[in-house]
Amino acid sequence: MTITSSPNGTVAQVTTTDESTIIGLTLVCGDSPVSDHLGSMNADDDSWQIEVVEGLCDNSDRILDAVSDHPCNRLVLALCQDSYSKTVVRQRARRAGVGVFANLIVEIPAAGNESANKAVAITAVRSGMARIGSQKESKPENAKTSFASNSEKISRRALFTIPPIEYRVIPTVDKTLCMAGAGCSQCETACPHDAIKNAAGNAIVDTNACKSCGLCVTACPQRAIEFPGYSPNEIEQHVSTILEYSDGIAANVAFACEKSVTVPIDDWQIVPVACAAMVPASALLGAITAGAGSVGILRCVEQCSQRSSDKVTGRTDYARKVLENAGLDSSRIVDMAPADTGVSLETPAAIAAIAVRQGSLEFFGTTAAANSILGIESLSSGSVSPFVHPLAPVGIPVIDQEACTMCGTCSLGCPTDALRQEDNDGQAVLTFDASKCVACGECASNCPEAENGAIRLELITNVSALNTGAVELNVDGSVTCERCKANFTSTRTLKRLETLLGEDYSHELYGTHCPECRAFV
Amino acid sequence: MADLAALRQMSYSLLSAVFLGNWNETGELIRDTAGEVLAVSHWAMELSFYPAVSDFLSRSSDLDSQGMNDAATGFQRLFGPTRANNPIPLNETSFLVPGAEETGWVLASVERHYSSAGIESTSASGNIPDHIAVEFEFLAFLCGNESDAWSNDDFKEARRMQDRQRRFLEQHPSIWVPILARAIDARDDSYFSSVARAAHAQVAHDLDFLNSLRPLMRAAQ
Repeated sequence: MTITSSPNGTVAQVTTTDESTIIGLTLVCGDSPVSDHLGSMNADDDSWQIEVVEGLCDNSDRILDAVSDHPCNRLVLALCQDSYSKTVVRQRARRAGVGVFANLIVEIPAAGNESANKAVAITAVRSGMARIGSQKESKPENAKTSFASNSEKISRRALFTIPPIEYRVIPTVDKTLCMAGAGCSQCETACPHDAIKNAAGNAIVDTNACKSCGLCVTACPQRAIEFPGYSPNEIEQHVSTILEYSDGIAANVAFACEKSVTVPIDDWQIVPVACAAMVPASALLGAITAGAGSVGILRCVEQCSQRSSDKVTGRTDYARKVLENAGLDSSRIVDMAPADTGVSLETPAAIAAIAVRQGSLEFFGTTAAANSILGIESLSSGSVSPFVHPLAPVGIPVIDQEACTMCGTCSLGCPTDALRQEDNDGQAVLTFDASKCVACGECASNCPEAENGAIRLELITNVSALNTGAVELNVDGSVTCERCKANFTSTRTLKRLETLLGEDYSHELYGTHCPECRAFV
Repeated sequence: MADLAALRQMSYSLLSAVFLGNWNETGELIRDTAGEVLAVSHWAMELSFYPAVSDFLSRSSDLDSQGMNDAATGFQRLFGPTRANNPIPLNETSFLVPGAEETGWVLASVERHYSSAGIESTSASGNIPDHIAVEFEFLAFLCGNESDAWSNDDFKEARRMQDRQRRFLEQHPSIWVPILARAIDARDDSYFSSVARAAHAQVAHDLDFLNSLRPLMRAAQ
């Protein structure tokens, strides 16, 4: 490490990397009582440089000088808690040439808090670097301009200069992963603002209606929503690094809404999220499985436009139930009150750190919920006893084998392939893999025989089902096309068709040739 | 606002010149102009499109004679009219489904935008009206008018020019330029990748910016 001086104050360079290879820069406010420790920490990565800048919180223009000296494409700003303006700091970062979403603010103890836990601050900064370092390049469509001006009172003269700009992140869809073409509409269902629609097989985002809450990110079983700043891989990488550096005592992880004004940084490692309601139960359970002591959700102080309250309450309740049923301490899941409510948070009980389980750090996607539950079971001395919960992220479809006509509509609508209907030696076989089920209910809502009770989704958490793999739910004979020899339907579907059409049913028309070959007959 | 409109005008003009591919005649002009624009546009750094556009300006201003030859070769390789190369088309209607009935509508629509802004029918003068160079030159024209309006304290005219840009961007470039940019980016990792990213960033930013600004412009007293 070399110590040099700069116009901005003392600079501690912990890496001796060639500037051309630097992609990340961490600026630490020198006023913080932990700044010396942060300045001397090992970046662990030659592509990062760490600088301590005196008075950074008071004078954010120093960001421009620092980035000018050390050009970077990722920026972490370790700033004293309650001592800076988020909007101004982000504007300066952009003005310094750092991409719109390529900066992250990490709060560190402010002057006067001399007893602050230095190891906690180091982990916070280090994990912030890992998070922003894992961010993929954003698309132009991810940035939504918003103006701070009050539109009712602005004068024409004022508009001759550009009003102060802020950028919000707008989700975009990776079409190579999106299953909208197959009928999936999980993002549309989850959006509380009607801002995303499955339009003719394409998920389309209405940028004017979108409020950047990220609920679509959580709902997408394919991880197809790109949301720079709060993407699944960034959040997972953040938590992973926090837990990796826990020293003896397990770290407490708090997923905090970005609008939370004050966060308890002494006892908790803060993982910013766009909205508390975007945190799935699998993140709460997955973090515990991976080695966190306690896991909390910190809501915003505003009246949440995402109506997050029910979701957060339901998910924390569900996660606690899983711990309870596994014989573990359910108080390790904490529904944290907003800071301005005056509710004081108790310091979580210290829990010995365990070896970090990297494989369990999958909070989003098809198998995240199942894996997190199985992870909790592996921590318990017994098993997780089965239970039903209205917000369970997993479920099991219950089929009435007589009412089911084996038409296959449920499997076609399943966005995760948990339900599959395939042809097997002349038989149509419907199978179900519980580990892939995300409890979306598409199977039941799409079923044409739902009124007859052919299928219903039971929101049950059953570990043995999650472990079993694909199981057979129903079987029927296949009907083969006489022309192309493809199996095109099941015998029960034909029978049902005969019942529905009555005298209009013609076996020669419907039962001998597939729809494609009927034109030739 | 006048400076922003002028910067956008220059950006569209340069991109238009690059997409015309007439490197022998315009290469040096592109290089020199890009350098000049880059030198006076650092104030725009906090705007979301600027990193991509400044990269394009920087690469363009660095082009020496070898770089211009490489760019000319790259242009032929990517967009040249040889079927063997599977060229990337540079006109809007080529990005419609083959044989789509909308082809005529698109051409008529772009012509209507041009004529309502007082520009002579481009097809009559031998240009392809939906070519990216023509669409970008039209945007440059509107941005230039907007810049002049701001400079002349003509708020109404500035708003009118912004509305024209917004409608044109919404109906044309914002629909197909991102697809074109992805196609170029997938085939080229050097100069034209930077051009494609700048074009994509500029179009996406401008539509979003003008949409977001619209309520303020309408409410201004």
